[in-house]
Amino acid sequence: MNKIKQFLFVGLALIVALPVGAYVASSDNYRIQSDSINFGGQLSTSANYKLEDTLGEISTGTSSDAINLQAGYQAMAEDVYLSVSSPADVTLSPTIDTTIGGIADGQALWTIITNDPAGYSMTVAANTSPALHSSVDSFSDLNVAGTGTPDFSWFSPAGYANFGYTVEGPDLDSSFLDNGVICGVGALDTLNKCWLDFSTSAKTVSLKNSSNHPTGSDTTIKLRAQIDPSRNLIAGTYQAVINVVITAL
Amino acid sequence: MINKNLKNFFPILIILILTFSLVATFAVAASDSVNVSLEVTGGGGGDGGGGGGGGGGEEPPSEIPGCTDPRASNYNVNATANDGSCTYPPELMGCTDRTALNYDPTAMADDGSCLYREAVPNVSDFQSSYNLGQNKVYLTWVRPVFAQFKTVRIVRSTLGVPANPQDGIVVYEGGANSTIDEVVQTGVRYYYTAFVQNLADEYSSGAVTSVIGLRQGEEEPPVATSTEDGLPIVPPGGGDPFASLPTVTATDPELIKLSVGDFILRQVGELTKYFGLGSRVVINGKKELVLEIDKRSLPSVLKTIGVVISDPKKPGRSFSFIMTDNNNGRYSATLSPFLRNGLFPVTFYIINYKDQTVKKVSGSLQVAGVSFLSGSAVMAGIQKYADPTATAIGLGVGLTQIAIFGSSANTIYDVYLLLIRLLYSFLSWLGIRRKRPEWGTVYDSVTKQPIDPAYVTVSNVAGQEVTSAITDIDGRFGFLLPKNVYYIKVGKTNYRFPSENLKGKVADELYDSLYFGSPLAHDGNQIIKLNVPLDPVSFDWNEFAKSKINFFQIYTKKETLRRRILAGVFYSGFGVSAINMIITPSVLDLLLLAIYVGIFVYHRILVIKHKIVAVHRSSGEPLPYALIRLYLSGIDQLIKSTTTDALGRFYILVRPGVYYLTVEEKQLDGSYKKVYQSENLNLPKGVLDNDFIV
Repeated sequence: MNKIKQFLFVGLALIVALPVGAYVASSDNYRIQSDSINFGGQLSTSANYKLEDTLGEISTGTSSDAINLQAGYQAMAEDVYLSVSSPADVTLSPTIDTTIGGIADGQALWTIITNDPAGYSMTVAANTSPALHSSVDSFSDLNVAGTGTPDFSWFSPAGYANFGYTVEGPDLDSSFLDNGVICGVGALDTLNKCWLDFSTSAKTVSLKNSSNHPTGSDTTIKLRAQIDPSRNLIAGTYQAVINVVITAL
Repeated sequence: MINKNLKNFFPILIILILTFSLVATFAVAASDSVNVSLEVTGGGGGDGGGGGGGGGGEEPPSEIPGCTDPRASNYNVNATANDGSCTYPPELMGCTDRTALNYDPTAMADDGSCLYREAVPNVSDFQSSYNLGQNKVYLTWVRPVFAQFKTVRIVRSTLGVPANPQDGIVVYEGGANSTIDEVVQTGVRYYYTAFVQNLADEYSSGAVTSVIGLRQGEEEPPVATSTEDGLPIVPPGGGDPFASLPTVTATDPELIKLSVGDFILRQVGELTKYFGLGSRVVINGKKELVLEIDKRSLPSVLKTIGVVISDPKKPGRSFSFIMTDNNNGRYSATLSPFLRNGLFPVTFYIINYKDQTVKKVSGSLQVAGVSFLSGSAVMAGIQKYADPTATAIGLGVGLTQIAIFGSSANTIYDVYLLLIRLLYSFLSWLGIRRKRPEWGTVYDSVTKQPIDPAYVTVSNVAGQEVTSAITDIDGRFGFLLPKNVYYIKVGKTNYRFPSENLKGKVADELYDSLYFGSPLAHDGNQIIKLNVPLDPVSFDWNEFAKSKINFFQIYTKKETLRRRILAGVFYSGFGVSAINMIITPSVLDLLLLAIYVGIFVYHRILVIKHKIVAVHRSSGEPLPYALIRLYLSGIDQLIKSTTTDALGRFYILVRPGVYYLTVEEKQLDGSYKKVYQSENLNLPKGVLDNDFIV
């Protein structure tokens, strides 16, 4: 008898808990947090507002371009949503002749929209170390002066093949902001400055502590590879996999 | 019953807490991945647009290569892909090596200005030899010369190369260039590392040598730590101490891809270099060389890196050293400048903590810029013996020339006096010695020539010497004396004091106030003006006058030869000093060269101030010991008198103005006869320029 009571208690607890974090349907871009089966009611409209009610429910949920109102029966207090675009794979260009050396650049842009009042964070990490490699050789991850702090200027010394990145966007992590001279200090986002090496550990590149709904914000990761001819890098196709994680806080 | 229910409820409570915790930390997140690809070609003609790439199915966007940095001088607004061609104005150039002391984070391109913390240089030419007869190991090296040098420590080990100053037995510590290790035995290989210590107690990376003493029939025993993969141990050859270390096959991926191209070569004022095509790199042999490698290119656990530079001209001879962790992310070693140009094979041994060679890479140092003389035996000999000798002699001659210029120094003692006088003059010039007022002139009673140098001493009534002086080029002397009664005595080889020729006279044709050794009352204020005649002991004017033509010929030749020899020695010393300054510049060399230049300039000034002219007949025969008087034109005021020397030469230095000059020829009886009076002479520099024909 006691065991039956215990199972009932646990079941009840899970039933109470699950809806908090669950949703009932989703696609790649959207998810429906909850739904209900209703009957009756009617649709009322005016020039600015539209209202549809059902029997037994008094719903005042509505929205416009500027206002998102959630109130009334089943208004979703926990409807944190996160929309993240997915850019195409990046081919660094131009092709580099290892006997001549040179620089190849590429970039990927993520648009992030969240209504989370606490904002969001975006981290990047490479799948491997070093990040950019072929089956027989690899680029060195950019050698920066301070671990985790970008170098203001891109510098790949002679004798090296280096791979690194910088970030542009309105929500940059403070380590990618600069004062025009060094990174990690100041509030400037000087174009094409503050270069860092990829790590297999996640590195926060963008951070926002408020909702950016509905406009969203872009974060661009600029990738750069440079080969010095004295490095004698072996020719071939070099690949890296960059993992990006965006979390609504 | 209640307790039992509580027990049953406990796991449920935990599950509930975990469940609610999970719910409470739930956050919405999304993840994405992008694949990055880059085509690297090796052909040299790869074009970016061709259809070879194909990574990911998407056609790469057409790019316009160029400089995309707006701060660059060659910024291309149309460029969409940076091709690394950017060049920057001087204000954006600087040191871009963050390991340098003057790393400039704002610099866009490196201009070769990087400065690095001065590393302690290694000894050079560290060699060892085993003397079987004495059962001793002789160690020799050349210690580096630098201001902060403290000591050289030699550390010995039989297990492997001592990697730091504490890694073995200290067999020597000091500042010498050799030592003997007496505690050795045959059949054992000894590894020695020489560490240079500076005043800040920092050590150099270490120079290495190894040696083993093998008696006839004896063979080197196998190394205790035999090779793990069965590879044979290479017996050391060419003085390579690392060749005897066991070799193991590298498995670390960092080591597998390590190449000689990973080593960095730095020299002050030069761009950072790497071993390039053919594993060769050109370096400036005149400068210290810093070899480095980034620790990221190496396994994290490593003992040291051994380096062997071989001498292609002397098979079997090499110089070895180790690279140590410089605590700045790199292994490094500092080498002294090379002694000669050439292509020097260099081998790097990566040595693990078991004293095993885990990787060996080789390259070549193309040394350029060293003077062809600096490494030669001739130059070594010059530097060791001839250089200091020539420099010293040259200096001595130069100083002597100044001293005896126009003087009558004929003996070593005279030269000694002249040098003493030169020293006094120098001290007076420095303000250390007070310049003395002119008291009088010492001169030849027959020729009326001032005597230079003569030694003048002053004694009191008790006969005690009070002070002394040496006459200057014009025979003058001076004293600073308190009120008292003095006696003056003049000494000069081949001259007699007091003069018998003029005894009893108060004045002669040229000088007045003659002094013959009588007591002299000095009140301490009055400036005494004495002229002291000396009789030449071995000079007979009549004889001279009779044979003067013959004398002129012989004397002129001897004088010319003497001057040429002295000038040759001086300029040889000057030249050696200048060459030394160019090849091996040092503070001492600079000082010596400065002295030479000073002497040279002083010579020039002396020549200008004492420009010598001559009086001779139209036949060319000079007028010896003639009286020359210079008068101020217009008022016929006698300004200066002097005499010609045996060759009819004289000099006069007066204030700039217009003068005329008379010549009185010395007759056979010793009297003088006026034979010439010049026109008015404009002397803007106060010196006579031309000879006089009477």
